Amino acid sequence: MFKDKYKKDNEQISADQPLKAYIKNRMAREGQKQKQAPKKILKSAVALALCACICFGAVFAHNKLADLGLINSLIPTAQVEIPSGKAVEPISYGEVFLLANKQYKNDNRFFTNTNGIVLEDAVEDMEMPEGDIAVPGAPADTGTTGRDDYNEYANGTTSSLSKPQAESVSSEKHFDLGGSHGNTSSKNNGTTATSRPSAVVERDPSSDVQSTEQSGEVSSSNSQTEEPVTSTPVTSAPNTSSKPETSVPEKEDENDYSGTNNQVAGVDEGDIIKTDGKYIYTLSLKNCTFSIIKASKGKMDVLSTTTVKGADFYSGDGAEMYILGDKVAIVSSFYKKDENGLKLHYERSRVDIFDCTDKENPVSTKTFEQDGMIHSSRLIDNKLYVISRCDRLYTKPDEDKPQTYIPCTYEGDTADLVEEDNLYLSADYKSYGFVVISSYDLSEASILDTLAVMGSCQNMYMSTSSLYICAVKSDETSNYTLLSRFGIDDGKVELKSLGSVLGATLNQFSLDEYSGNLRLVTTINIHNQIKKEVERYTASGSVVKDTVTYYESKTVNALYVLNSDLETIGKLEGIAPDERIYSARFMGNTAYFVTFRETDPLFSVDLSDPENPRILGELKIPGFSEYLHPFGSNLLFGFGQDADENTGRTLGLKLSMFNISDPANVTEQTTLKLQDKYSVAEHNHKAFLISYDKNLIAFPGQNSFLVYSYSARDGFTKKAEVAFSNWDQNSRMVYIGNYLYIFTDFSTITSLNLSDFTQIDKVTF
Amino acid sequence: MGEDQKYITLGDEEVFDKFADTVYRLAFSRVKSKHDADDILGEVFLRYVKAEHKFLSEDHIKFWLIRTTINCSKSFFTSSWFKKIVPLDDTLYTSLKEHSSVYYAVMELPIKYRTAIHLYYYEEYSVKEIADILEISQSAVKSRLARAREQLKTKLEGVTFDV
Repeated sequence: MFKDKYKKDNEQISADQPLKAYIKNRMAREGQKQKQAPKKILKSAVALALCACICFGAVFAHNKLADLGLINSLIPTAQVEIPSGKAVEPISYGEVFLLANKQYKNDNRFFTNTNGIVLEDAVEDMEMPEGDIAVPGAPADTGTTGRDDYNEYANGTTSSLSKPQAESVSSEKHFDLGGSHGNTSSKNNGTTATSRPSAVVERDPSSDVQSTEQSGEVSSSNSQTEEPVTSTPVTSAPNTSSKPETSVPEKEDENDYSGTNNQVAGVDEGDIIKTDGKYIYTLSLKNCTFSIIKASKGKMDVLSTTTVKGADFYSGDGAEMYILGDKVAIVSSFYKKDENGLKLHYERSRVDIFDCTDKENPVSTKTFEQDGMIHSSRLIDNKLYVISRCDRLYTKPDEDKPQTYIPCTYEGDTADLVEEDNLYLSADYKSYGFVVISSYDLSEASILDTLAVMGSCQNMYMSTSSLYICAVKSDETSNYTLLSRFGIDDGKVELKSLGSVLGATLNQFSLDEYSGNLRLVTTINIHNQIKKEVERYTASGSVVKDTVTYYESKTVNALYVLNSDLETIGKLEGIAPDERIYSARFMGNTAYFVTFRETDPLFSVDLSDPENPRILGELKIPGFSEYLHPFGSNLLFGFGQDADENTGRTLGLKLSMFNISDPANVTEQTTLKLQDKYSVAEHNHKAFLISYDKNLIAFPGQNSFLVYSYSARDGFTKKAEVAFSNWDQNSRMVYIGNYLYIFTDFSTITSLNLSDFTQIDKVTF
Repeated sequence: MGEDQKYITLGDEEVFDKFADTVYRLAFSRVKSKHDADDILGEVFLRYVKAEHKFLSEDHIKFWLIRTTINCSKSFFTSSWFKKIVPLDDTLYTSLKEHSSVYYAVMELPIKYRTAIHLYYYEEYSVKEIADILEISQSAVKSRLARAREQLKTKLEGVTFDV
């Protein structure tokens, strides 16, 4: 029979045994990688982790808390030796020059200029004279920390630079900008404000070409979102036993409006929409404009759309807006490259202050600039704090021109160097760069103080009295965070203390200040070097023995409590091995945080004794929360992804409501799985509007802005949905009194009635 | 598809042991070269590990592997490497211990007939299943099989068995 014969022939065909063994080996390695990185996000993080993890897999597979002792023995004990807890002395321009010069040469050693010729000065003497820099406040005996470079400087004596030279430099702090720096003047010539009398207005045809093009895009994108509102009538009144009434008084209260979703009460964070109860201010990242809309009982009137001249919100890292009375401040950053687009001339952050007393004609009052791209900003009372970071030098340091290596602030045509008293060195100065912190008085439109720290910045957290900056570093055993605490006092910024903890923070919610102590949660990556003998198969099929060195990466989480000198006073290490922190929230004496691999343990930690934090409970549910927000006094809202319990694969957005009335026994009260797979709100807490009093939970989904309400009986109920064009998820919602205003597509506001969620008005500008 | 459906969990090694030959033979029947089939075998199983698919049954896994093998060999034929090299035809003869006229006759068929014959006679898939795997209609499968049989008949003239 043909069939039998064909089958018999086929049986003879088989892959060689060595090849099969080789493929199995590869599969095992790949499978290990997949297991270590169940989520897409994690994949890159564990690219180094290879197949030699079998012993660790066995160790950590069991009960996590039971293995605490073992895991703690793995955590490297040698902490970073940095001048922690000491008063920190400023450094001089001369010292900065020495560091900058060395770093510049290092950076450009193999760099070529645009013509492809190796820069001559870059291959000069690479050595730096020993003992030239004294690290401020460094302990006299640093011992052997394994950080030779650090000790090289730490053990050095005082600066050999002659003081008079440094003083002569500092005496000419005002200088005119020359060359490529000179064209900033054209940016500060005020603004063009166009009065907008009606709601939907045509763009001024005399405005520049770029704007008209963009306005065309706007109108076309809006045409796609016709009839965006699908309002759901309220079918049943929410369970009012534990909830406030949904219906609010008809009378519009001017003091009843929403602000940005801030982390700390009293510390305002910038956003693309703000309201003062009467007017709505919106910022268009696309068009570099801000608009003022009069809002009254859901009816809207676009009063003006003002172009911020010279600003570039789109190529920079976005922009943030603050309002203070009639003042509008816009914080953004921009950079300038040479005509070939290769060499960076400079990158700066800018603060534009507008006087909006006449809402139809806002006037630009002042424009300030400071070196470095914007990292973040905060507003306390009327003082605006802007934190920027310049990562590397783009000009060759010239000792006689301090502006080539010292960060500056700019106002009009003049540049001010950061004063010598305000220059500091943090422990990770080896990555040459500055974190520049400036404070501005918004009501006076003036710059108050500027401070620069050599170092880097990954995360920042600001309370009403302190500013914390985290820089993440890594060495051969693990990663660690260098912390610097700045005292904030009515515009005056002062470096108070330095400290360090193991691991890296996730975002600003990983940190919290409470009664003078800093509490933070970190994820530690422990690197273990593993040597293993493997068999390799050569192309010819023969077997070769080989020794391979792997770096096995292991994650573990920790909670630290630090005092105001940034000395660790309490810690909890070895939490949830193999997982990483996805969100955290500190509420008084209790900390909640979510770690995740396949299921989501929500940990609650008691911090009432800061020196002895202890885990109260852990709640395991599928999926994970990426944002936690208190809802009333006994509930915690969690927003994140649902995930498969076996594989950890994410399945789509999930809303959860946790009952935290007993922190030791947290329960998941309600959960709702959404159709949407992702949302911008997973990474940006400002996109949320969560109000317990109004019973509102609103956030942008994948293609539409979603408004939910919550009741103990019915769980989450969808109240309204406003579609937006797919490419822009940066939507926001504010409420004023009894009306909701949903800002989508940079240029459209839809207003809804809060009592029945019907659309009242819609404007496009 | 509901979330409560039962997925099977098989170790990667187990899957490899079970289906390595299936994949290899199909790959061989398509590319007609030991070395290229070796490459495809590795590629298919690496894709299997990386893809982390969920499977309902062993047949589901087999189906997926066959489909992936076909895709891999397709992309192999379009690769620039394939276009530039001259194939070594003798590899086919050395891999078979027993000389068999049937296997060579099949190997001389055009690739689309070869695959249909392989799936029908060796893997014993029905016409409908082959249509699903190859993503063609059932009548196309039937006509491919018929034409392949016709060609085989002329090739195997004198050999007495019904095709």
